Amino acid sequence: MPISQLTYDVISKSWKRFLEGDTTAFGNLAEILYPSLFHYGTKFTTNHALVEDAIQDLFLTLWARRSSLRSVTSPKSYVFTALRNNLIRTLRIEPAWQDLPDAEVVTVRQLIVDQAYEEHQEWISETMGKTLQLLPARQREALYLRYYENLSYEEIGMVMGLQRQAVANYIHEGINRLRKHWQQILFLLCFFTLL
Amino acid sequence: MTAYAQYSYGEFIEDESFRKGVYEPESDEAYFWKQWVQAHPHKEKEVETARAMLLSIRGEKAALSAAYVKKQVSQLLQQVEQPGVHKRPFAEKPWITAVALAACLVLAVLLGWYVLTTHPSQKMATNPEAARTRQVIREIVNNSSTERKVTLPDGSIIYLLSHSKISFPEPFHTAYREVNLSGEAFFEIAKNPSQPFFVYANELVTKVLGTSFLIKAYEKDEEVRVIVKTGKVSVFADTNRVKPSLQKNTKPDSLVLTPNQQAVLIRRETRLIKTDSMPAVLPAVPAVQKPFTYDRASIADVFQDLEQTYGIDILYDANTMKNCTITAQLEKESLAEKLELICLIVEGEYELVDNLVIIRSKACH
Repeated sequence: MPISQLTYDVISKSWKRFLEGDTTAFGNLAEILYPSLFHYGTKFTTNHALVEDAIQDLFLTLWARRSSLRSVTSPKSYVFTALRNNLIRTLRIEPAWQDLPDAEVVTVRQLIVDQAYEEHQEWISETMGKTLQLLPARQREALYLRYYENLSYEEIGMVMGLQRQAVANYIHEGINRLRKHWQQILFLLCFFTLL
Repeated sequence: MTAYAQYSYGEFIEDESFRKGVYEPESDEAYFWKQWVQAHPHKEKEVETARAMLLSIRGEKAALSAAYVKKQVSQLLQQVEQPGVHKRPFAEKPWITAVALAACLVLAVLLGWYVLTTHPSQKMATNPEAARTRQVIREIVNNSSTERKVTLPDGSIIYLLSHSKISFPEPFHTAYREVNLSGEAFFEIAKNPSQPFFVYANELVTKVLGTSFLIKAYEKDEEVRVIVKTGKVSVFADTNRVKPSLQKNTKPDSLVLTPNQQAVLIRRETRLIKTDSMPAVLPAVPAVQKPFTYDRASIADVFQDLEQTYGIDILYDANTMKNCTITAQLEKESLAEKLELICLIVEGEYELVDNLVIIRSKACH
């Protein structure tokens, strides 16, 4: 489930108590965040065990380092960032991924990135895949964090390591492209059902 | 309430309660929006567009039960409350660690053996005689001036262009399929993920699971070229065939190609370059060559010819364009030129996104 504003308040309260060493609050926090983290993680790899491991690691690290987390302002985007970095490290996906320009000599390093990326990026759903596949991965990720996870532009920027304006651009363009495709597809669908 | 009636798809998407209604079908919000659309049927199109967009943004949802999450969290708490314990719960018992280690060792040995015995390029290079004794090598040469269609034992089809040659072992190895190519050929590979398909062409290896693509690899050419039409293909330099003197300064490259991308291997430098190729660069599949000569042909027929020839999808409003007809000879034009001419005739415009062509046009009279 995505996390709504109401849950947001519960998260920040639990976070405060967790920082003071409250294990019950820590458990609540983990329970609320787990599904979101899991779903987000499965966008990077189909290997669910790997995602589960990464989430367990993430929470254990959080607990161990709780005394140094007082400056964290947005717990949710903080855990998303941590999971993302962990997965990217594990999967060796280049974080600053960009689509290759038209013609370019491909270096070996890029190639590894390229292949890991191709194999692990699963931002594709079976039924809707074709439409969303048309968008670059970073656009898809920004849209997901904005609309499914209700993160603000600033928080998305933090998770993806981008400036706020870049996030806004990704989302603006992503929505425009998605709309174009869906309006046409839905129109055709209506048309065919009328027949 | 009244404001919703003025909403466009974009405002619906921005509305948190609308999103909750879409993502949580059991929620109050979902119920509210269902009722609301029934009361405002004229907004149905906007609402449906917004809903479809949101669902495609979410993508496939991995199944995760609440009970499972509870179990994971209680495991986590156990580890947190007993400091000093190993991270993984099963590693608490030493004998399990020992068994796991032993199992890893056995696996590693098995894997090593598997890789050594079945890796195709290695086998081809180190032990060609052994391969020949067990399998028959079939060689097909096309010295005619037209292309020749070859059907492989696995159902894959190869259009062998003139003055080109392929050879392959028969039967294929159970773990992979491999073909040697000299010259130029268009491949339509039967899909089989458990038996990848390798094409060896000069110093270039192309690996696919099931797709179609063109390889141009004449012995005397300075380049080897692979152009992908459908599916995904990975291409790499064959380290066994590259001259050792060249291997030192440049590491062998490899890359992944998607439709309408091409890889060029510059043989002298063992350098792989990836570029986008316009669909027009792709040859028409020989089997579906169309005359492209039209006399008041319906637009649907014309688009169908284009789709089949260039492996593209064309999205257009069939209803609006139902009266549009084309009278033209387009056989020599490239895909881009064809599309431009057609759009000129029907007073429309086109947009090319990957393999999809979107046509916008008014009705014809």
